[in-house]
Amino acid sequence: MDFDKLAIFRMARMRMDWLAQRQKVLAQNIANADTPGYRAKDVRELNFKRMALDAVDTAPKTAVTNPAHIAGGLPHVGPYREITERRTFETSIDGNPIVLEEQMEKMSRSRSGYTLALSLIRKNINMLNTAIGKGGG
Amino acid sequence: MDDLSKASHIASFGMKAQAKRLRVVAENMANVESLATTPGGEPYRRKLVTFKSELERGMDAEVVRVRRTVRDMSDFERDYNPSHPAADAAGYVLKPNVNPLIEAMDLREAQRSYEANMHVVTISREMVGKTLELLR
Repeated sequence: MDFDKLAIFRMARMRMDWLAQRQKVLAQNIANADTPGYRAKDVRELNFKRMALDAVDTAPKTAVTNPAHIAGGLPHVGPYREITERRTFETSIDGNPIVLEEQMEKMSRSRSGYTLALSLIRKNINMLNTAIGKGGG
Repeated sequence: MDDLSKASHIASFGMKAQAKRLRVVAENMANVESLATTPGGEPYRRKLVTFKSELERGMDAEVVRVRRTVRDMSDFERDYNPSHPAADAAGYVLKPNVNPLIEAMDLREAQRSYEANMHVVTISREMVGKTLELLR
């Protein structure tokens, strides 16, 4: 069965994708913590409304009426867009705005969010197992 | 490559750069007493590393690299010691422009950044591990 057809799995997966990308961006910030003139980056906050809409119906597609047509649609921007952060705790003399504590805090928040999404998936799998009579583990 | 592996990979670049910085600091510390060998010559000149961020195309991420090591062009200190083989005509010996206190602070900072990168690797690995646990 395709788990992605169930909105809850799709949303959890989206959240995990977003958190993984954020992890990448934060790693980038931390690696560049001593690079002069580096700009802090972050991923735009997941918009729940948008996420819910994305999970329920997909973007409209162009109709394919001829075998030679290419199925297309609006380009999917994706909910995860990298942005340059304007407001950070402080900027050092060399123009680097990375504060390790701030980045670490964000990172551990990402980790707990990731764990949350994972346990959500696990619980739902257990529920499905119960429904098919295997008993929840 | 998925984002979590990318995160670890980026952190490894950071660790490499900080390790190089540590190496240069060690070099400075070791040469704190390295004087000139010829009369009136220059003693050891302090080295510094500069970082730059560079776009790594394979990962679509900005990683850190050491741009180059540069020499600290500040003035040398002088000691009056006419009997020293490196003393100039006036009897002064130039000493390296290395300040052990500054080096120690630089060392600390490099260590702190190194640890932060290490932490990124740990967290990313943990997240991957937890994802794999879903298979059990």
